Amino acid sequence: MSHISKIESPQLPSFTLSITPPSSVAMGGTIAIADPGLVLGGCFRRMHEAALADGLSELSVDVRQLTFVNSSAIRLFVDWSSWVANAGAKGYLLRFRTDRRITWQRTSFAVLQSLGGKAIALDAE
Amino acid sequence: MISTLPSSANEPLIFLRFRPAWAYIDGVREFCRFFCQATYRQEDIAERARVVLQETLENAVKYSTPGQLSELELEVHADKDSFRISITSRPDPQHLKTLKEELSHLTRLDPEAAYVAAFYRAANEPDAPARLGLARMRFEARFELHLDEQADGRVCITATGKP
Repeated sequence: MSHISKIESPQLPSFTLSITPPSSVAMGGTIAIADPGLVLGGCFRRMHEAALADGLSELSVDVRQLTFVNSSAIRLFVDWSSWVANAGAKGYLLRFRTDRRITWQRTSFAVLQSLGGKAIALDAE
Repeated sequence: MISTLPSSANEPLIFLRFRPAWAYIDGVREFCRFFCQATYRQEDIAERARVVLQETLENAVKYSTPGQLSELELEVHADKDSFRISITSRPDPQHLKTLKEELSHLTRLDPEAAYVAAFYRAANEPDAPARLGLARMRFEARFELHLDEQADGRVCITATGKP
């Protein structure tokens, strides 16, 4: 059983997380809670560590249904991009699937890509 | 048919006064988003307003001084040429100092450069607060920000943009 398949989705009323092993994650809803780092930061970290432990070459994260987030939630994606950028040769490609029509995705993921360099790929529809 | 757009930006489209509680943020944000969408009939301005409302309300709620005098005032002013969102609160002094420094730093850069710089700072300081909100309002929502300290100790943050 892969590490990523063991990750449990956080219970948050407005947010959904769906993990499809071996290498796909989809997020939906909104994140506008007071401290997303406290509630979701551990889950993001576990997904990163599971991708490393499973030896994935690529992890796809589909955020097209994640329609609105606050800036503290954007921080979660900044952290994930930093982790994967710092993982070096043992790391994986973090591929975000985004929707250009959603403003926060259009503006923020382009910056994340510059932050993460070759460790980040964007599929913007 | 009555126009939804006020004849002058001096006339508020929305005026709300409420206690600085996190529980109100989602409702106030979506209520104002609806008003902006209905007034301009443009999804873009409604989304931009939504971002500004989320970030300004969060800051005001997080950093308001506790006590009976603590309340928030939200005003939305709009006409065909300008759009303005103001939040007046009573922040704690330490936050006010940080806010002034942050705004001063931000306005030295163009909105995109400031947003990129904020991402790099957040990445380099993983244990510190994100501090992306103000830069996000300028770049993503395309609003400029102004801080006004009032004689009674309250502070008004005004975000101004074009519809």
